[in-house]
Amino acid sequence: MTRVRMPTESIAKVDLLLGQATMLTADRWDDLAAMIHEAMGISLLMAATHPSSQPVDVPGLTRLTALECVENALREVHTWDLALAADLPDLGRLRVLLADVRRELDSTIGRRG
Amino acid sequence: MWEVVRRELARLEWDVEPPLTLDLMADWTQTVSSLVTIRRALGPISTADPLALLATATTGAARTADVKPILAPSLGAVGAALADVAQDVASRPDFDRQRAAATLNHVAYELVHWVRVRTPNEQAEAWLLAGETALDGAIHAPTTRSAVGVGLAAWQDALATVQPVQAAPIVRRSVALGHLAILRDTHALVDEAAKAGALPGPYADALLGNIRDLARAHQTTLSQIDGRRLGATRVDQAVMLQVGTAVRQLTGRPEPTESLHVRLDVLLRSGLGQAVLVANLTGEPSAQPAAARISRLALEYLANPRMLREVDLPEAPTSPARVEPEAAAPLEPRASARIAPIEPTITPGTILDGPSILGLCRARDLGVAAGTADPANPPEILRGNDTSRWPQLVAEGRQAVTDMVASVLPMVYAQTRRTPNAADTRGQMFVELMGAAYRFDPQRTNPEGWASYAWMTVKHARMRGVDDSGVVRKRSSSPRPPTVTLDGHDPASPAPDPGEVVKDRHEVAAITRALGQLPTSLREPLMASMQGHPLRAIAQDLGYSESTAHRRINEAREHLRNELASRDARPWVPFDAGTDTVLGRAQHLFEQALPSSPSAEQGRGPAR
Repeated sequence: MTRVRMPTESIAKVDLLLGQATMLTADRWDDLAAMIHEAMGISLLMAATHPSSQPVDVPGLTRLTALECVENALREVHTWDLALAADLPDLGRLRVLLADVRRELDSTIGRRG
Repeated sequence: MWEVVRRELARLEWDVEPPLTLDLMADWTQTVSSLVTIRRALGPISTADPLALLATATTGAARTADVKPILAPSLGAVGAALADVAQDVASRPDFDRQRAAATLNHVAYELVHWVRVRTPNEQAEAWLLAGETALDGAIHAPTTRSAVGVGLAAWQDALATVQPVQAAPIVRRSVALGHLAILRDTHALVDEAAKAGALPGPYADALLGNIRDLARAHQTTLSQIDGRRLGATRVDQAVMLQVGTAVRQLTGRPEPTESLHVRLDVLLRSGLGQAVLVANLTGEPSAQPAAARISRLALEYLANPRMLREVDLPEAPTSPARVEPEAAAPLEPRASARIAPIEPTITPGTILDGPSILGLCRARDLGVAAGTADPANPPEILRGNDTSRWPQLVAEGRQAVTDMVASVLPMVYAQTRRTPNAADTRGQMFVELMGAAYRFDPQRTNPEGWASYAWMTVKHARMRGVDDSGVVRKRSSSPRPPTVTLDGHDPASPAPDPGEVVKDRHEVAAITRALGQLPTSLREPLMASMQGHPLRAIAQDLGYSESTAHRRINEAREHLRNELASRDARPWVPFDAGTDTVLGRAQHLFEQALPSSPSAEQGRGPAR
C-alpha cells in the first residue's frame, strides 16, 4: 500500500495562517482565543515535525482578517488526505477546532469583520 | 495544639536515655495511624494524599517479610501527643485547617525520616522513603504536579534551547506565539479567580493590565516578522520541534481534574512562563517593561502564596469536620486489636496472574470505599459488609496495593540502576507506582495488563523529567561522570610539569612493553577496550561472545597488573578507575603514540 504523502507545504501555510490569526486576536481573552491558540499549537507542532523543504508564502497574508485566516486554514486542512490521521494524531482535533472557530467568528464579527 | 508534639519530637532527638521499643515498625505503624486520624479530621482524604501514601508505604514496610524487630527509642510519647492533637482537632471547629494540614505534613515528614534512617532492612527502607518522598513533595513542592506544570517545564527547557538561535525569525515567532497562549490562559484564570474572590482585586487588576501590555508587545513582534522568510536550518528545525511540543502541551485542553487554583498557582510560580526571558528573546522593546512588572508580581505571589485562596474547596469547617470515635480513621494493622494481622501474600517480583490481580483490585476498591464512605449511607460496593469490618477492609485494601506494587518492584530497580540520584528517583517511582496501583482499572484493559501499566508509569515518571516537587530532573540514562580530583595539581596551569612528563613517558613505555608481552587473544580485546570501543562492538569485531570478550579483557588487565606490579612496588590503579590523573594521561599518550595498534576495526573474525 502506498504511503500517503505528507503535505508539508500546506502544513506550513496553515501554520502561517493560524499564527496570523493568533496575532490578530492577541487582544482577545475569551474562549474563542483559547480555541485559536489550541489550533495554533497543533499547527506549530505539525510544522515543526514535518518542516517544508522550501519557504512558503500566503499571498496577502498581512491583509487577511482573523476569520479569513481561519477559513483559509480550514480549506487547506480539508485538502489533506484523511489517512494522514495516523501520522498526524491531532488532525481530527484541528479540523474540529477550525470549524468551531470559523463558526464562532462568523457569528460574532460577521463575514468581513 | 502542636506544643506537646513539638516537645516530644525534641525529646526524641535529645533524650540521652529514652524509653525503648523492641519493635520500631510496630510503634511506627501505630504513629501513622494517629497521623491519619488527624488528617481525616481535617477533611476528606484521597488516595493521592501524602498521608494516605505514607500509610500505604508503611503497610509495605511493615509487610516486608524479613524485616526483624528493631530496637530503637520508643515513639509512644509522640503517638500519645498526636492522639491528643486528633482529639483537639475533632473538638475545635475554629482553626486554620490549611495550616494544620501543613503542620501535620511536616511532623509526618520528620517522623518518617527518623524511622527510615533507623531501619536496617533495605526494602522496608525503600518503602519508607516512598512515604517520605510523597510528603517531601507536598511540603516543598513549588506547586502541585499538574499537566500545566509539566507543560511549563517543557516550555522552560525549550526557551533554554532557543537561546543560541534566538535571532532566527521562525524561532522568535514561535516563542511569541507560544507565550501568547500562556498569557491568554493566565488572563482567563486570573479573571476567574478575581471574580470568585480567590485573588485580591488590586493584584489581579495589575496582573491583567500587564498581561495585556505584554500581549500587545508580542503582537507587534509578530507583525514585524515576514512570513515569507521563515526558512529554517536544521538546527532551527530541531529547536522548533522542542518549542512546538511545549506549546502543544500548554495549549491542550486542561485536565478536568486540575482546579483553577492548581493551574494559576503553577503559572504564577513560573513567572508566567518566564515572561522576562521571553521578552528578551523576542527583542521587542515594549515587551520588557511589561514582562518586568509581571515578574515582580509573580515574585510578590511567591513571597505570599496564600494570597491565592483555595476557592474550589469549602473553606468553612462543615462537612469534612466529622470526627466521631466510631467513624474515625481506621487504625493501621498492629494498631488495633480489631484488625487481624495481615501477612505478606507475595514476594517482590512475583508475577501475578489475572485472577490474583482482579482479587487485589477488588480488595483495594473495598478498602478505598471503606475509608471514605458514610456509614449511614454505604455505597453499593460495601453492601453486606458490616461497618465494624470497615477498618479491616481499609487495612486489606492497603495491603492489596502494596502487593500490586511489590509484584513490579524489580522494574523500579531496573530503571534506577546506575542512575544519578538513584535513591531519590526510586522513592519517586514508588510513589508513582502506589498511585498507579490505586488507579489501575482491570475492566478497561485486562487484569494481566497491570505489569505493562506499571512499566509505562515508571517510564513516564522518568521521561517526564519532573518529580513531585516540580524539580526538573535531567533526562539521562548515563551515569554521572566520575569525579576527577586535582590531586595537588595547580588548577591554573593545565600543563604538567617536566618531571611529570618524564614520569608519564616511563609509565607509557612500561605499559607498552607489558602489552607487547600479552598473547594476541588478550591484547586485542584490551586495546579495543582502551580505545573506548563498547564491549558489544569488541565482541562482534573479534567474533567472541560478549562474556568471552569481557573475560579476556579482565584477564589481560590481570596480566598487566602483575607485570607492572613486579616492575614497580607502587599500588596498582585499574585502568577504568578514572580518578588517577597520571594514569589517565599515560593512557591518552599511549593511544596517541599507537593510533593504529593491533586493529580494532579491521580483519577481525571468528577465524582468530
